[in-house]
Amino acid sequence: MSVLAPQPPGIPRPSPSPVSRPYWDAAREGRLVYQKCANCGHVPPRPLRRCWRCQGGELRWLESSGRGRLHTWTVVWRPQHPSFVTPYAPAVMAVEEGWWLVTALVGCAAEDIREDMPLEVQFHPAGGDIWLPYASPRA
Amino acid sequence: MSHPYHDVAILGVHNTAQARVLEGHDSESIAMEGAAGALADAGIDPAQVDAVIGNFSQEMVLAFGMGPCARVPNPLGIPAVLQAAQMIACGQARVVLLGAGGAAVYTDRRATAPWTRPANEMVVGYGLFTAAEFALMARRHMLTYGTTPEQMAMVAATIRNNAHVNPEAVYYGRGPFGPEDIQASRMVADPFHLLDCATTSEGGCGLVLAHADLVGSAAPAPAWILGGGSDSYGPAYQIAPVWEMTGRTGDPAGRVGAAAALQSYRQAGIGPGDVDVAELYDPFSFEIIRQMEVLGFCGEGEGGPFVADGNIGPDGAIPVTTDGGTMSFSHPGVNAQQLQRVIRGVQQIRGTCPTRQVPGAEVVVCSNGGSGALFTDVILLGKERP
Ligand SMILES: [Zn+2]
Repeated sequence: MSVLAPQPPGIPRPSPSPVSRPYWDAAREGRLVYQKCANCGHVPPRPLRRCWRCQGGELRWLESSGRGRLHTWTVVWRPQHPSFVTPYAPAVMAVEEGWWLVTALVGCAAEDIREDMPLEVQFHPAGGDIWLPYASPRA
Repeated sequence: MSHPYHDVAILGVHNTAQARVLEGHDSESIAMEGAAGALADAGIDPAQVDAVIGNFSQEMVLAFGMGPCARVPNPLGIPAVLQAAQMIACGQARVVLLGAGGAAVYTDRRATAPWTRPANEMVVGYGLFTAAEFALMARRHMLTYGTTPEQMAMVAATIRNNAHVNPEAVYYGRGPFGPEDIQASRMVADPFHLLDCATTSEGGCGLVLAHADLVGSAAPAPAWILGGGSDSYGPAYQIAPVWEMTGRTGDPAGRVGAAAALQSYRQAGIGPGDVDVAELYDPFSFEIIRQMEVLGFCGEGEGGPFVADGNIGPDGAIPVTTDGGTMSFSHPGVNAQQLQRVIRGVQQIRGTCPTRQVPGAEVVVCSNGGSGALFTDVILLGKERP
């Protein structure tokens, strides 16, 4: 029974866009941020220039608590790319502020993953200047 | 008012040889063979073609000497068939050719097929690929409704056994499979075992749609389009595949395809109870359970018990994916396997399937896509002109 760990540098890395740059800049500083519409409160499904839900409200970057609960997950045994060490556990965390974060679970064994378990993010280097938010169980 | 597709007939369909590897082919050459086969099946001369749809539409216009001819590089499956029908219905074309194929694309077998690997910045670092994305959706169904891996294994066994008896399938003669064989295969992305997942292979195919005036006595009986629709929640594999994500209607992304199905049934003036065969897109076993629900064959959350009760087998209430589908008929990885759902539907309507022909099939529903990919396309085919 092995504990799920962050991937070593060498995996395919994200290429930040002008819109998502603040997300990756914050991640490098160990902070999780998300966008929220100043007009209607909508959290977009990914970084966007403006809120289309209310026809164009301003999206502001806010600091997340980095805490949430496990919404769904899988444990992968066949790697997407040879550079990934298996098993690894992609997951969706329901973040406290009401949005969903795609991440991967670390710090627990695959057998101990439970629906709704409390999680918090931690950041690990992925190579280059990219740090990835992972989610680990919290008390 | 007459039906919008009253004058649109599907006249020709063709599958090339399908195999794990087709020596000497690339995607363009095998797509070209698929298109040529469909023209021959329809008894249509290339000089009669007014429009070509698909990745290689321009190459086909050149190779068949069809210019001047419209070319539409629409890389989809069912939406491309519906577009062809709409071009004929509005008088822009009398004959439309669709061809697709994949070969010599997947060569590094240490990893998953390249078209399954999302490169978007929000997901790429987490090693997500199609099986993992669909697993995230399947897990929500398991948690919410108690759906089990055993029920999923019954889907995979049913569809793989359809290929086991089909001499044209890549995995012909490789069964028969029981649910326990599916569950004994190695785990890929929990809850999906290897045999819960689509295969990868090479092959081509084609379709010819034409104005009803061109339906001749010599060619095979046409299949007709009774209705169709397309639902998407955005680009596949770029955001968290969350079942509960909603858009303008409040319907969850896990139910994508329900609106397209409703529109298709309304257009056809029928309901799920009138459908004889379901040629559904089967990238992963769970997807059939989900589609049974969104297509209205059973209630929300009832898909697991519904498939476990034998409803989707060859003698069941609604036989599913009768050629073996992407699990074991073929999965060439471009849009060929999406068009192949419609091709099999046409063969069921014609009554010419060499194996697993559903006797007296008059209405077939075909689908593409799935919820891990955040889209579902639907088309209803019929024996009777609408
Ligand atoms: Zn807004």
